[in-house]
Amino acid sequence: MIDRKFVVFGAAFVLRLLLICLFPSLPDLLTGRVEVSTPVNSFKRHAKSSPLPIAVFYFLVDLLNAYALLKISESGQSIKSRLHTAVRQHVRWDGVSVAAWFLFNPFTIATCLARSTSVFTTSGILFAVSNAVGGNSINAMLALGFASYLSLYPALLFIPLVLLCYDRRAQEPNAPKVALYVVQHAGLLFASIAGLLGLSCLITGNFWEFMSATYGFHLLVPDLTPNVGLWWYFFIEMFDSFREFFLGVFWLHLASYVGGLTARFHRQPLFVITSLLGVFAIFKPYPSISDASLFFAVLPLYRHLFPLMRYTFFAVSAILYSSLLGPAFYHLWIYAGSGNANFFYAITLVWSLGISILLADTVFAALRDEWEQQNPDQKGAEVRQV
Amino acid sequence: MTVLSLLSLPLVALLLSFCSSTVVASSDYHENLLLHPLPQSALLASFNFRSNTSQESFDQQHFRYLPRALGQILQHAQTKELHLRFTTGRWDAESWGPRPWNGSKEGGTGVELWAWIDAPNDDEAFAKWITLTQSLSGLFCASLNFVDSTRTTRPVVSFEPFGDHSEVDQLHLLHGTLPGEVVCTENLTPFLKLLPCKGKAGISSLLDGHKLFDAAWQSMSVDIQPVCSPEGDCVVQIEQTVDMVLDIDRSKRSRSNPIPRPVPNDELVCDTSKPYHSGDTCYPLGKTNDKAWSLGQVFGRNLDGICPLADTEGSHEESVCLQVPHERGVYISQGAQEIKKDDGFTRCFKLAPSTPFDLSIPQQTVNVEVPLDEPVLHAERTIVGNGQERGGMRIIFSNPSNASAVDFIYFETLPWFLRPYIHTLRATITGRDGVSRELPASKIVKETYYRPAIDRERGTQLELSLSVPAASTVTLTYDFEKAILRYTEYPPDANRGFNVAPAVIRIVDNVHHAPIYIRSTSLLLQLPVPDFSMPYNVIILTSTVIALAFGTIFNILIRRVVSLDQASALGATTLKGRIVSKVVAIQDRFRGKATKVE
Repeated sequence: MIDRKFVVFGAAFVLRLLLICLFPSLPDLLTGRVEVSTPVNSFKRHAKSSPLPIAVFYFLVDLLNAYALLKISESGQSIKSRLHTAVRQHVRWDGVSVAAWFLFNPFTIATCLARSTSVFTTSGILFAVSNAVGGNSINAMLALGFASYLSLYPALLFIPLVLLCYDRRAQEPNAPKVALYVVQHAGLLFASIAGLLGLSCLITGNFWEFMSATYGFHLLVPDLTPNVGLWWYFFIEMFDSFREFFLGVFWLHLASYVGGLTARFHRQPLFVITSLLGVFAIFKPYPSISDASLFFAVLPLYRHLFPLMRYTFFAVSAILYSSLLGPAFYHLWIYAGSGNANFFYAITLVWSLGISILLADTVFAALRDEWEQQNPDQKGAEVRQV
Repeated sequence: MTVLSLLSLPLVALLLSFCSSTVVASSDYHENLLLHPLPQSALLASFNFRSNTSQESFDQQHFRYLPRALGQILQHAQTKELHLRFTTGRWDAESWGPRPWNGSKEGGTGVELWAWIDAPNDDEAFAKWITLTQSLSGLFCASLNFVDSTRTTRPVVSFEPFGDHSEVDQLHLLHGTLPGEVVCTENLTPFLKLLPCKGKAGISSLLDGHKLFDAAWQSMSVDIQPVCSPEGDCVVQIEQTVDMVLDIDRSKRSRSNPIPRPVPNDELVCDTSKPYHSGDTCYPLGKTNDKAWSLGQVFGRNLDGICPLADTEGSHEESVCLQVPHERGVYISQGAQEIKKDDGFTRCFKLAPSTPFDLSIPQQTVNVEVPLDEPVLHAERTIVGNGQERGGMRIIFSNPSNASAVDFIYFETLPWFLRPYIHTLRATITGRDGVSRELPASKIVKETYYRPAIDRERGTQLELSLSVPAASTVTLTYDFEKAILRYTEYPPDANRGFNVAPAVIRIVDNVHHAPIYIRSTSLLLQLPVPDFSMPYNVIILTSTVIALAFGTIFNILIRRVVSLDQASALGATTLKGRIVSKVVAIQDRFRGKATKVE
């Protein structure tokens, strides 16, 4: 077992090293791709490069992320939580397979080679979850605070994450009340974010300027550089008088999933986090393929739901179709001049549609799994939703 | 009433003429025209109009030569020194040599304005600057009102006041450019109206919009600054210049028949030394300087005497000067006097009052050429790279001197949607041997002043203090990214691209002390463009995708999962189920009746 782990991690490292040694221009090429680099995570916007040590640093962060994923998988929380036990427990991948799926995912490799700063947000989220399933709720909140400080939107994961922590805590004696537990942890999260913000303000000097340049950038979406998401073209074409209104609508829409999913899946908080990561990959303001790669990384934790999914072929085809045609259409628009912006826009629509079908299918499969758990005699029967 | 006013008219005229005659004695208005034939059969015409008004009469709003409209704007906007430029075309330094006035009277392509404004702080200075640009916009019929915060910069080392300012003024330098402004006759008319003779007499009567804006390069300037004598007497000086480079052949085309026609065979000047030269093959020789021309032909107008308001006493009597070798014959109108200068190339003409003046030069082969200085520095700026996503800026400086290095300040303002990566700034140096070496930028750039852009608020301001060694060429490059804008932020001709203001180079010349200015050409920046016909479609399509995702997920979330049997059982209890069962029951009853009847 130990050997397999080393083989997978070592091979992932060597593969990345080989890629940058054989194709030295690859990192810069990927850094320039709009699918990988968005205005908020672009490496070129941040720093001067000193190639190899920085690249190796990013590889190590990737391996750490994979390790956190391995821990989450080994905890078995996705199969058997406090209030829910999956029906098809035997259909699962072990931790190393889940980590390998993450490490050898081309989207992950591209993100890592492009030195995108989303890697750190990914780390924050994965470590928050791995600490939560490991019972270390304080570290989980600190990690989530770090991720939220970097990218703002992970703060939406707070409720499912604190429920996940509580599930673990409730199995031990003297469990506190849920409300008190949530308030305590919310305080902790705020403290960690405030601490990091305070530190940044000490460095930059001007608090409001710093806030508007960082979180204002996330909230108000002033930069409309193309990416794989739905916001950029919408707000390019939006009439000026309705811009603020639709910014509000889009953010509310993004936040609305938190309530809906948490209410329905309060017995499986880890599943809420998984599906929210899918929602973020589609609907956050500046999404990139790194967000999709995070969703695809946590999806194999629910390997036991795969047999219950209905539209896998269609979703996978749509995602493959858009990943292959996206770069081609972008080239036609920007470089060849033989296509216009609508070409790339259409592909981003297909991409978003593909992931949302996958997401909806996963949600359906999870509900079906819950139902089968309550009605063991009906396992495998045809179902309907009324 | 009308009779009275008619009667009083001559009196007013008499009073006016009396008034003017008394002041003419102490008049301080000079005008001057310098004609300088350049290589490639070009002709540089430099018009200069200068007048002084004492500071007291300026403060008391007693305007004479200084136009009242302009004076009041300056007082209202607390502007102490003003420089306004309208420029079109490109100065070809390779063939025309150094710029007239050492570049200090020219601007970048389009409109350029900079001013020193007296204000207690930056915000008030900016408010006054906006007042100034709005007023000048009306006065000069130019789009100066579009000089907003994104086009305004505050250069630190690139400009210094020409005038003498008092210590108590808190001066703020503001600088704005409109590289896309098309300078044309509607700007010339108000410009001429500022002159005392308003283009009716004197050298300004030569200025005709058709010829001026048909020139290969032209620059109009207005400079207002306080000038103080060592004794402390201050005057407000207004200086207006028009510099133009005309193509002599092109200007000589008659206005009624301006279509260029091929030169007849027998008038072609061919290079007979070419082996393939024959009756039907010709290698044309370059344009020569021995063409015949006259003022009337080139400018399309005659010079209507001298401006009676101009100071005709003393050394400024010669209002027209011409730079051709003395051996060349020049015919002038009767009544005018020719004065040849000692340098062998300059001759000036003293014009007779109220007599039209013309000057004509016959075709003549000359052996002596008017010497042309080598410019101190050649500079060129281009956008490199392909695609509408990112690009690079390349600036080439070449120092033609074999002896000394040249130190200068490079100043550029970039629009906010061009996002430069200053950390990618690289320098390459090429010697006369043609071998280029990459240098760390710090070897060439001695000082940097960089103010990054803020989206939709201000542009990038970059000032570099550079030094180019003797006999070498330095190439600076940096990368930039192009932003994509909201569709309302694009101009109607979005695919043409956006104008990027010319860079300004200020050479600190230790020999001449007066700075030399060079401006690069303006650039066209291609940005990625969305489909402008699509706003409704995009809103509808994106909303559909969002609605699909939202609808599917929440539809799944809020419904119960049941087996097929349960579903049909449940179906019976719903409203729809009950209606369906009623309908079936009624059908059954009718069927039942039918069978009974049978």
